[in-house]
Amino acid sequence: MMLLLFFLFSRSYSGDNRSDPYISYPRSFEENALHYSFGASITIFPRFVVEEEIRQIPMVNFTARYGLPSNVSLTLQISTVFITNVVSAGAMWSYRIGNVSLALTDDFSYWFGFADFEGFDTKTMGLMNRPGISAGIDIDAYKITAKTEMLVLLSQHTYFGSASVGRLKPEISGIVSSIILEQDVWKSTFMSFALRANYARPNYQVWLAFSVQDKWLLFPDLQISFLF
Amino acid sequence: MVVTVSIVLISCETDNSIVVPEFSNGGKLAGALPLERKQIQMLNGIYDVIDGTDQFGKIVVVKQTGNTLSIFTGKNAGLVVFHCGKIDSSLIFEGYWRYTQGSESGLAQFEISAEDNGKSLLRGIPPTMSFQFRGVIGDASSEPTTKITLQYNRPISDTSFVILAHRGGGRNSDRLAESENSLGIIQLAESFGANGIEIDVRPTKDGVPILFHDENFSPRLVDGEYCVGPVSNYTFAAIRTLCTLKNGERVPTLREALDVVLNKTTLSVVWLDIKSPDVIAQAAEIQKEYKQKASSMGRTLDIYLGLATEELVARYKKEDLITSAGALCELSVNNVRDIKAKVWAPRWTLGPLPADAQQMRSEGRKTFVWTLDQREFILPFITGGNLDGILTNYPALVAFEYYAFH
Repeated sequence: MMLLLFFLFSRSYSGDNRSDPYISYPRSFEENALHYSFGASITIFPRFVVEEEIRQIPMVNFTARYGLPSNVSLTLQISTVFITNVVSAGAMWSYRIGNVSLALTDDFSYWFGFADFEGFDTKTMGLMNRPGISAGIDIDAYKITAKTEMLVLLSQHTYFGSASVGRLKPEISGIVSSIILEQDVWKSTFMSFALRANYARPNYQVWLAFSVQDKWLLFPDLQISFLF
Repeated sequence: MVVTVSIVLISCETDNSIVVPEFSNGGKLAGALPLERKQIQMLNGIYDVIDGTDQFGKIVVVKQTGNTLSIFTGKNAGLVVFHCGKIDSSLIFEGYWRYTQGSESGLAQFEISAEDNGKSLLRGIPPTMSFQFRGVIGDASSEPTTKITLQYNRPISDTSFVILAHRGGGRNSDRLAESENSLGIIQLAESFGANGIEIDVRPTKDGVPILFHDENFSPRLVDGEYCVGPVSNYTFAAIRTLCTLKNGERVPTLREALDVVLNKTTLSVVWLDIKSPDVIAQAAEIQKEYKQKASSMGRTLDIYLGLATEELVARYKKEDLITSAGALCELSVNNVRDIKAKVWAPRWTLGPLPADAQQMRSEGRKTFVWTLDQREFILPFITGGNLDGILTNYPALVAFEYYAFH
């Protein structure tokens, strides 16, 4: 939190004249350019999956994007809520048509969760691939991006006490559609607002529910971040 | 944006549609005489699937379940429930099939003709290795036409294992024909493969023990716009006036539930999941009363007070119930010994604990694990858990895995 306040303060009052930061907006980065964000997100779990068992706590997010030649960027995202953690790394290739920027993205996400408290001796982990496509438009410094990703679950393992089960069978486990707004909200304090609709089988966010629902469900997700 | 917001709103919906089709006009059973339980029981066994492996997998378990006959398929946690009757010497089985962890279901109709073992089964002669149980199933309410042939393989060797149905038989999210913790679901539990049930007990404002899982009324469990917020804020009369369970049933009292268990089922175990310390003493009185009733009826019925928290254990001790009531304790084995509980019930997420379970058995206690729903997680407990029972939302799945494995 102190680090976040420091960055906010420095961005607001240092008179920094770097280009406006953005991460999701699919316009290409200059080579070696780096932008990052800190924020929080919350996923609304389907009530009939988690019932009263799981409290909804926001995840803390760190996201970074680094520019490479040929309109390619590297991306990194880390999200945590202590018992559930996700690390994603990938690449983005950008292309511009007039005022519209487009990008193809691909990320690999490793997620792991653990519960070692009363009644639990459990941990679980999975590997996902997330190919996606995004389109964005810049309107008077409001950068609006629409993005769609596919979630491909590559493997998942669960350990409970001395036993474990796992699977390596890849399967499409969801589709994520997002609308993201990146803008200067106040005196060069840039923020990102993302609304996502995860249309997926019960996903890593609710791993502790051990749901057997084979239905695809909607998990709305709201993320707010400060951009640097 | 509009699309996204719409999606967000849609996501708040729950799907409680019922997927149990019925034959119009009662089907062939409308003109049939009922079969006796012992006649149905003769069909118990493990069967190889000759026709229908796509739907049912390679083997199935066929078992008499109260007044019904059920087939547990393992594949997709499948279940077939038949009502049974006879016309002359032909045996008629009609009902439904469904994948209990999915939405697919349909009608099912099997028959054993008089010439094809019908007469011999009615005379009490059990099926031989050559016996085939044949019929058809369909999709949804359409006429069943998909052929199913089951070849008798071997008998079921052990039926003493306790398969406990969660919340009386299953959760609302599993789209059952009756609501969770209702009188109706308790009557269906056996046909799902259970021989015991777990029900949730909490007090109303005026101290009436009712069956209700959540601390609060919400659209997840009830219909009725004036029933919102803590259950403990409402008197029993208000609850009965203001709301119903999701399928229109009344919120039942513990007494009503145990009356149903005693008079309308052959269930042998009831796990009362006590949700509030304030209801322990009353639940213990009712437990004692119904154990006596069961005894006077010649029924074997174990009723346990389920204690899941330190707070409940403390109240249990304070009320001096250790010697008079039978408890099921979800805490450590030391807690179990401390309150002389009859059952230890660890959460499955601790993994199989065969040494502790064996120790409990040597002390004359049982071990039930909860709440196991996934096939891959169930197997390690059945094969190496030293368990006496499993609590599940899918009794059909546990029944298949247990009976097929043993």
